[in-house]
Amino acid sequence: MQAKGFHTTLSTNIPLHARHEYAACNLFVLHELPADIIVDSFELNDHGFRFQFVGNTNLELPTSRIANESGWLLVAIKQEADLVVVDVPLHVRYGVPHEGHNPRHIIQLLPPICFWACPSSYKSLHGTLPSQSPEFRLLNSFVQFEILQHTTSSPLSFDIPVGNICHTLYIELCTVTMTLLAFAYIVQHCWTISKTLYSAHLKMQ
Amino acid sequence: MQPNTSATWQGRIPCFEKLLVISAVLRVVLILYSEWHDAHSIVKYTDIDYRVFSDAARFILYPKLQGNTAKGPLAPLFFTVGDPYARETYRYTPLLAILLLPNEWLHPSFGKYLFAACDLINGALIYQILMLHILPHTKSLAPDVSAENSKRFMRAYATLLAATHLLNPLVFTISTRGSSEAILCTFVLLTLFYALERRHNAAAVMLGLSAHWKIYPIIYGVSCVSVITLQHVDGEGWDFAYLRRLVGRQALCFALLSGGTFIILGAVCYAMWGYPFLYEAYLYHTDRRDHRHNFSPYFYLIYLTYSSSGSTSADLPIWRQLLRSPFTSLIPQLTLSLGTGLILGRLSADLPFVWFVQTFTFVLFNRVCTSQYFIWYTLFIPLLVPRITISWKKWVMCGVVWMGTQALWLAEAYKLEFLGDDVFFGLWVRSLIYVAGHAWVLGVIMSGYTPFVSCNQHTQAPE
Repeated sequence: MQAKGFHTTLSTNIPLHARHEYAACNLFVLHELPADIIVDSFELNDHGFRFQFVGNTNLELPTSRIANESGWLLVAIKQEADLVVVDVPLHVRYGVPHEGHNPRHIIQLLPPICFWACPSSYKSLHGTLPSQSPEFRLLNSFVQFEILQHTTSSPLSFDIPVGNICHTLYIELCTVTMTLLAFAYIVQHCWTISKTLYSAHLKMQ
Repeated sequence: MQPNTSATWQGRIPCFEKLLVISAVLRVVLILYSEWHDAHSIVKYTDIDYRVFSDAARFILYPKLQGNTAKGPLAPLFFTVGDPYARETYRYTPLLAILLLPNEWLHPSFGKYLFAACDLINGALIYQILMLHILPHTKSLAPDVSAENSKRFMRAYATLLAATHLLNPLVFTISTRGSSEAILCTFVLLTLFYALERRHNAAAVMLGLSAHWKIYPIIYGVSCVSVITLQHVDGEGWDFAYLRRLVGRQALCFALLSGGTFIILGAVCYAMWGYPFLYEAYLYHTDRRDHRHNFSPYFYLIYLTYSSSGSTSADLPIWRQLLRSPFTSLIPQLTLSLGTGLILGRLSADLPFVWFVQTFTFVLFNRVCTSQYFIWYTLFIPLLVPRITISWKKWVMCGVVWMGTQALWLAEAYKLEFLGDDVFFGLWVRSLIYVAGHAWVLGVIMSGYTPFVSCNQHTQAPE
């Protein structure tokens, strides 16, 4: 499923089979997000998430001005039901402008990794997190992981429009022209009203 | 456009106190609604800026949060004060975060109630300015009204005009959503009030405070100094006597007092919070590049050229570098916002009009423009109406063009932001239409302005 627009909610469904077997463990979902995606930590706080984000936290830069490195979002989840749904609000940076007719940019999202994180005293588990993922403070007290299968998430990609570089000269000329025309129009009115105010002031004197 | 002088319509207007109560109740209801709405909806009623202010206030109160202690050279050693600039995108004076500390102690909506209270104060100031300085000098526009009924007419008219601000959806939505513009409007209106009262020292202090809050009110200083200068100059205006008075005692006193207030407030904040205050509150705004869509047509140019600024831009021919230069908008902006203050600022009675023109041109030519900026000049409209002599049809046209160009732009922006349609070019075209439309509206209002002296001349009935 593809999201349109610059804002969406990444929804992950996590069926928890035999969750009672993991009573001593914590449930997490790990998202690897492309550099194009913005995670607003303050917004996640408002949603009541317990989370940790490692990545570019500048909310205001376009894609062209940030390093092409993934961001990692780890969300702790309460395992209160047999099916848990995690909704994470995501936003998209403006992409690098392209040439061509109606240029667009597709951003693929990797499926999230849902896993149990268990203490060392727990039975032996064999799951591992991606090697390129950073170290998370939230996982400090956990050493064993069990990756959950059969989780689904949507959307799987973003489809956004980008600026058209072919327009640049036209945009430059017309923007400046309109600015100067508006300037000239207002100057002309200023000149007229200033003469009126000036004669009024003289009469008063 | 002047109201009918008959007693009928006056009887239908409630007294100003009643209007204040109605406005207050409206705002309280909206704030309570905002709390319910935000708790039950993904799309929030509250402005994102309110979260920013509230977080900054929390950071001041709890300096141990994320290690955010104040970084100023004179930050207290015996107790720690938090750094509001640890909150990303907090680009305001720290005094705003301090004002909102009760968000943490009392209630999260305290700030909204504060902004709503400022709205009511602004309405009261508009009413007072109309009653004391504007309507008494335009009562001649109702020559058939007896002196006894004149005061009733003025009260009713002033209440009606104040209501256009207090019951303006743009105004009460902005404050109840948690935007802090109402506080700045209070400072600006107080500056204007004192200037009209010719209490220049008080006006200077308030101007310094306003400029500390947000930098743009500095432009009003030009018209204030011009008015002060011309009060003591006889003659044609910009001659040697004028120039001598421009650097005379009174004008200098005003400039030093307002500049001094601005510097002292800035120095105190810098001493406590250091360079982050200086950068976020002021320096950031001098070079900000808002590439995401906003009313200004420069958004698209900034977006297309964002990654090609600097060395690659230097490869372009000179004329294209000039086209991309920020001076293409800055020079018209400063020329008009400062120049109109100098040229039109002749009498203190004309200050509401002059400040309106200065602010309108500042907003119109700014390289970023959002809806909140409009309140900076719509604030003055109730004060101008008694002196604008245009037909009601032209008023309606102005309203239609002013709102219609925004609606046209917003419709396209929605398609881009939420539907992902490729409408960058169309949105930019609508930005150009916004500039043209708003320039036209300003031209119409300027053409219809009747100066103070001309109004008084109407009192002399022909013999």
